Amino acid sequence: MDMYSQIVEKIVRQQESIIGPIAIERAEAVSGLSLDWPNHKVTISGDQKTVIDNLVDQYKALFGQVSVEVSKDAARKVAGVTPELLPKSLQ
Amino acid sequence: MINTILKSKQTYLILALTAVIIGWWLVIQAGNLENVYLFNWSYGLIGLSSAIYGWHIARKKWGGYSSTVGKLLTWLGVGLFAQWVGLQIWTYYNLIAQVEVPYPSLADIGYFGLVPAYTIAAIMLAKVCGIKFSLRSMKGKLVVVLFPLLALSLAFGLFVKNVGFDTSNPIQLFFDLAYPIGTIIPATIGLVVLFAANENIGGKMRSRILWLIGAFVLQFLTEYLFLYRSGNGTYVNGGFVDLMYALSYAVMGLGLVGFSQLEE
Repeated sequence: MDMYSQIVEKIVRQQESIIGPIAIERAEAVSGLSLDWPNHKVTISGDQKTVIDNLVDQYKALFGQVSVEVSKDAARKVAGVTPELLPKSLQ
Repeated sequence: MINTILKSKQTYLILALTAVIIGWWLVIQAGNLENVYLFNWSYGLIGLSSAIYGWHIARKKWGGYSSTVGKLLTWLGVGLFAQWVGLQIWTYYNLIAQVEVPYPSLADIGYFGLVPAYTIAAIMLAKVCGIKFSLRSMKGKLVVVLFPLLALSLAFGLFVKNVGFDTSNPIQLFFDLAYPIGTIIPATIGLVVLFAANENIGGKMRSRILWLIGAFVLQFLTEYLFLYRSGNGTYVNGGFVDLMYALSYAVMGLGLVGFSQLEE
């Protein structure tokens, strides 16, 4: 998986540990995001940064800023990630 | 959250039971003391139904024990169930053993079970609300240190300092100390979350989180009122304290209902 797919995988995994299957439901509702979650495979179509921003927005609508912080923490765990490469919502 | 509560059948079960309990309580206050022990047993049904519902929602909606929210709801259910167990044993003492206020007794295994259960639930609540992010700020650090100190001071000032350290009854000594200190912990954690992590909690979950914190505080006030009344010998079965217990179970039960659906 490319870096942005890995970021999505990490974010969804982290959110799943907090809110359970709702994390997957919210991710599947994001346009441009395709999940094969039993295999933890993520496919992004379209602008990757926008898709991630929309994913973070989904979680923010649920839990507020804490979801954004959880997403930021998760994204930082992906190897090779630098602030410039991150979508706006994760900077 | 209100829409979710209004749409759930569990809400109407809780409200119906609570209405019956309030009506019955009014009858008792008017002087009809017949079946007062049955009254005490009955309001436990609010807690029991809420516990079972909480476990059901935790598993069905939140991944059960695999998620932090699932753990939160599960342990809230355990706390309510523990209270129900305590009530069963208390009623046994009232009806069968003919003991009016059985303290300390086996009933306290149930009643005190609320403390660890709600404490674990409160810790899960703090995790869900991102307390670790709040601890990065000076305000967060201050709240986390100050609030427990204030809580312990309150517990000590109101109750602990009056405990005679009579070791001839170690079980009573344990509960005399453990109840005031233990029952303040979940509410303290809830208030720490409220003041330290308030800016971080938003979205659909905000109202649900605030409701649970309110339920913790109500439970704490109820427990302290019981401690105060039983301490000065003014607790009576079927009195105001038992009404408070019924209401605290109902409020927590409705809080659990809030997690049954995230309305769009």
